Amino acid sequence: MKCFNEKIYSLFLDNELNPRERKEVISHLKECEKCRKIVESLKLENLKIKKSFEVDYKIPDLTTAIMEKIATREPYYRKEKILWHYLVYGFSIIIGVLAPYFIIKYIKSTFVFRRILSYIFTPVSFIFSSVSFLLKKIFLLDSINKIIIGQIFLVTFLFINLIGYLIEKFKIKEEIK
Amino acid sequence: MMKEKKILSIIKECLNGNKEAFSQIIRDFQKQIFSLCLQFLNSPQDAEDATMDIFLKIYNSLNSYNPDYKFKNWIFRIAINHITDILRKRRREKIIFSEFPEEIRHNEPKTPEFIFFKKLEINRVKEAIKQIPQRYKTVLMLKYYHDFSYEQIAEILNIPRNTVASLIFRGKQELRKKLVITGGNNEMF
Repeated sequence: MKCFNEKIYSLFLDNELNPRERKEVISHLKECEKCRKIVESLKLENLKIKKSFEVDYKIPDLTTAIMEKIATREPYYRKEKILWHYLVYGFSIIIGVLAPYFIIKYIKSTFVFRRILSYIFTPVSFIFSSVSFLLKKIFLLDSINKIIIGQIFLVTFLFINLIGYLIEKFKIKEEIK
Repeated sequence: MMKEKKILSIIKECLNGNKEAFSQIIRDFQKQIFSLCLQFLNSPQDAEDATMDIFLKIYNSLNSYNPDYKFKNWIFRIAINHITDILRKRRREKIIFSEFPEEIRHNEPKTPEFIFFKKLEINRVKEAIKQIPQRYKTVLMLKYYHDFSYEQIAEILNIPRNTVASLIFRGKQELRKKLVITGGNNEMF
């Protein structure tokens, strides 16, 4: 049988050949003394490399020192990226930006404007902030940013709602006059 | 060595805010990480600092750990990236580092095993390893000192498995060249 090259023997010693190749190498080594010598010297070389990486130094126990550093940090909360979480928020932001624009453009009545705001946006933003809050408290998800976004939505729409209400009241008063 | 399942439960505890659980991970892996740092940085003090920084990095990135990978491979990856950064910084600042202090160097055990390996001119190999490029040194160390498989090294260094195989092969060739230059009995190589 033909001798294998050095790379194959190196892979053989590193245990990186597939079972079939390994079997072939072993059966060749049984009959070829020259190759056995090559494998022996490669084996010794590997051992030398291993030994040369050894350091004669007493390894210190750093557990306490590292834990002290960690102790000064904020406790951990899982920051998991949940797709639906982002989808819901993405959707709410798009609606939050686009919807008022279209409402203002196409619906002239302030009354309708206010009603849409009251019935859709306020509860939606409220749901977002409460869902985020629950996620954080119960499932320990870091959704502080989302809570803030939800609350900003809530406050903004409540504010617009209030203005809408005031304008409406003012108009009604004018009509009465 | 801890089982993956146990490690996962520790990580879960850490992520739920129990910092103390992390100390088990430090105890289990600090020796390997410290010796890795020492082998590259050549200074016990720097190795100590680097080990501490590496464990802090590991703690800070626990949330991004993917359980599909072996935990040990993952922390070795963090460690090697950190060490590479330090070495890059050293090169940039052109700091010439003192080697091991003399007392460490000569504090050699007199066991029969040690005397046998001394005969194998281990010190000469050590010197040669210092002279080969870092990428060869890294794979040789991971393979022969830390006993990782090619597949695991590929995962740690984020390179293809075939590249690992050729780096190991070429690394050994480089090593032999350096040993020829330094002279001496080279018939084993």
